[in-house]
Amino acid sequence: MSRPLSSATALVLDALDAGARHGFDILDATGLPSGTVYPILRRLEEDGLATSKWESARVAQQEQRPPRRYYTLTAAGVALVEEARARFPFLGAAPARGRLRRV
Amino acid sequence: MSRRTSPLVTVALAFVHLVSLVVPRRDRDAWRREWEAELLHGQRVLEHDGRASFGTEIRLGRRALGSLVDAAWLRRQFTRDSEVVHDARHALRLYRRAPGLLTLVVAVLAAGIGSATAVFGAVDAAFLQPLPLRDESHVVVIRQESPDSDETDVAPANFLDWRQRLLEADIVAAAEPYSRDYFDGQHPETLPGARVTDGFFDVFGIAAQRGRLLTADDFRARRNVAVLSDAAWRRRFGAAPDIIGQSFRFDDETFEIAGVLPAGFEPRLLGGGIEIWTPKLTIEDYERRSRGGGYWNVVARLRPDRSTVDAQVRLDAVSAELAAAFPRTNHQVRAAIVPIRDHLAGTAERSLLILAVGSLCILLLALGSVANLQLGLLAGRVTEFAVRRALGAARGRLVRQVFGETIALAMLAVTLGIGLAWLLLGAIRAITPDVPIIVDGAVLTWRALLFAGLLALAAAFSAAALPVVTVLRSGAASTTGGTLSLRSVAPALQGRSALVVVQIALALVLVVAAGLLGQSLTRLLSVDTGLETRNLLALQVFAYDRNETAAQRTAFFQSTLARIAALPGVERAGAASTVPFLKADLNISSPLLVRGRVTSVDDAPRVFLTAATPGYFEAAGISLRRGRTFTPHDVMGARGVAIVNDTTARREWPNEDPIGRIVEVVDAGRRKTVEVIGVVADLRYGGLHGAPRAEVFLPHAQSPSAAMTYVVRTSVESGAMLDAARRAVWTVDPLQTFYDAGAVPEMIRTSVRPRLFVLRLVAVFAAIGILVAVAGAYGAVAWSLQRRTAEFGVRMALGARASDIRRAIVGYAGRLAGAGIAIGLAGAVAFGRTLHSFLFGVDAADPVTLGLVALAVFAAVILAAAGPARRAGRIDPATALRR
Repeated sequence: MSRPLSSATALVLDALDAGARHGFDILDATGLPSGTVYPILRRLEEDGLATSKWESARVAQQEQRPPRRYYTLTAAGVALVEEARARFPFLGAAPARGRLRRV
Repeated sequence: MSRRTSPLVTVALAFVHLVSLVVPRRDRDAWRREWEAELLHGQRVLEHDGRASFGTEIRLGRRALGSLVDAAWLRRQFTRDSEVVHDARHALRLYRRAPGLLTLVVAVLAAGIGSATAVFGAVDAAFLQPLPLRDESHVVVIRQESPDSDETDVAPANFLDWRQRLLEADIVAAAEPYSRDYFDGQHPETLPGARVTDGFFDVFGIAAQRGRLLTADDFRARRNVAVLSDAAWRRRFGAAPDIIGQSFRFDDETFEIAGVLPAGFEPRLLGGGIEIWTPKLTIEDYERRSRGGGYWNVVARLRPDRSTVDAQVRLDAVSAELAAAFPRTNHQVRAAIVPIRDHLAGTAERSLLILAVGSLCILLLALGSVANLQLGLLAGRVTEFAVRRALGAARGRLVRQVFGETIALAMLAVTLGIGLAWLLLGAIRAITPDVPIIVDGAVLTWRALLFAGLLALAAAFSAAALPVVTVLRSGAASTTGGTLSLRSVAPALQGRSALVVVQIALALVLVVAAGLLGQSLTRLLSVDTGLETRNLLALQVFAYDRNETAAQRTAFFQSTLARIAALPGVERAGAASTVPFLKADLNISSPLLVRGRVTSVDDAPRVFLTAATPGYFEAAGISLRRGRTFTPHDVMGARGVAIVNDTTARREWPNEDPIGRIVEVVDAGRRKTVEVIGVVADLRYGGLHGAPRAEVFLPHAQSPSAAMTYVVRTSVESGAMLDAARRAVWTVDPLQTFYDAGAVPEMIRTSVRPRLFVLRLVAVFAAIGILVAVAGAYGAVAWSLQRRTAEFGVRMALGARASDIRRAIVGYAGRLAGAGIAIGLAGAVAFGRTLHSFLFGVDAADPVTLGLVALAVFAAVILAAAGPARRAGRIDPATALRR
């Protein structure tokens, strides 16, 4: 919790809050590379700001692929989203996000 | 999965799979499933949206690259948080407080592990590794032994009888020394060589490196073929790949090269280093009769169903029959079967045993000092452990930590130790005359490395043992008092005195061993060789080839000696048929019949015969006791004369003058009557430790040997003189080769090299030992002072003087030293027995050495206690009591 909040972390928090749940969906939403997003997710989880679960096997079977892991913000995480938005005003502004998109 | 996975995604999945190995095992499975699911989902979405193309799949695949960062991040988190890393860091902080002691302990442990591993490596190569021979347990060497000789070479006729009668053997074969001269167009060279009988290489069951070895066909067809050693092929023929089938002239015959032996094939026969092997196609008549002097080597391959014991029993029966049939030569002569491995190991066993004991001492010292270090640290950590226990640290956690610390230490030491072992093994290999190893030599095999690892582990565990006991006991302490008292670790700490006593004892053993070996070498080097060795060169030649008649031989040596003597820088020159320290010792023996005493040739005492030119005794610096030496007038046809040495004179004419006595000897098969004209000093053959032998010299002109050794006295020490002497001989015969040549002092040094190596190693061990023991004693004394500060404070407050306190401290050190020395002396005497064969002129339990070393060790320990004692004398009672 004492770690300084980076812009990338803020983007991930924002994406999670906006409803992106799976790793690659967050990549799509933030435009950040996977090598950045995953460590952030790990740290958020370690710090108790996010939790992860596995989606149900039924959904996975329907789509003929293994179950995906999804992330949701905890209460503390949601609280941090507010702080992040206050600190990085570009969050939520669609054009800015578009510029960041790099795959 | 029934749906098709695109090739690109398959690659990405494989990549993720590979990367997952980086992820800590705990999370690996879930991690892999998460990435796989995302990638497959991505592909399904692309297909579903109809956007699946090479470009979009590449973009998807690229995301998999990020998994490496993800995995690395997880691994780093995991590693940083792991107990092991915490413990190692903690250990480092702890050890940083005592850097000097730590360095010493790691160095000693490295020395212990290193030397033990090197010795293990050598033992492994010499005794444990399978030899590269087919079915080695059936390969044996057969030696000819008799109670009154150290020689084990075999007489040709004996070999022929053994071969005929040894039914237990598949093959019995012999090798005869037969050097070959080779002229490469510049200088003639001698290739140490052997002629072997049929089946010789079949005994060993080896294959040629190139071409083939000698076959039964070669013997049947009487082919002049030769097999080269790998060394000869490389050094003399430039490793020519097309050498097989080529013909070369050796001596005056042409030989076709049939093959090259594998590198490292060194059967140590005929003195070793044989470079050219040729078939012995004819057994000469004199060989069928020759049973007196042995000079062949015999090997055999026993039949698979026969044991060495069977074969030995059979040979004993043969020996008994031969003794009955030829009592003069074969009385008490026995054929002894020696397994090939024992033959190859030679005397290595003895030096390796000494090194093994030495390195074991160092290893024990090292283990002791690691335990000592841990105990020293433990004293300051009692509170740390107590607090951590009180805060809920599990006992297992603390135990693991203690192990972590000692393992870190051991890892450091074993790394250094393996490096050291590698260096040491090289040095051991360099003394191959004493540690012969058949294959390329000893290398650090995985077995040796495993051994080093086990030693390190043992070190770590033994060092951790006492602290661990303390931690385990701490349970009771923490429940009763909440903290650990010093009392609760006292039993562990008492062990420290015992450790120091053992260290002192081990150090004493090593110092005594080094002292005995050092004295032996000094005495050996100061042995009177009978020669004046300074500025003395010697060159051994076999001049048979172009000097068949007596007149030719006399003329050859006269003219060559004249030319050598005329060289600038040469003071005198002479020659004798055998000279000490040269490669070939021609030990020609003869009965000595003194006129006036009734003895037969069979019963007469024996002497060794040596032919010498005029000037030989003067050039070699052999002192003349009585009478005269040979002159140019002692020629064939003149009155037969002889010179005897001190040993012969003492034995034959005690308290009488030998000059003018008439004796008979058998020289070259003929009885010869000679008059004793002089007595000279004894010479030492067979190394400095050899006993003088009864020797009779005949003038070369009256006993014209073709095998002679020039001795050249120069005015200055100069290697260039050796070449000048060679060239002087070549002016007479440009094809004459030299079997051995060099400066005599250098030859003597070479003869003691194995001893010097063992001495040096043991001396280093001793130095390490004494250092560790003194450091250990200092640590123990300093620690006891720390523990007894309060006690001393009270005593001083009650009127004790500083000197009393000092005496208490020094007394403690004295008791440690006394106990250590007592145990050490017993150990030293026991080790002395092992050293026995390396000792010369000094007893294994030499009281002077033992006494001096004991005194020195005692003084060293007391000196180590001086610092703490001085500090103890300065204790301020008030401060001490407040603690």
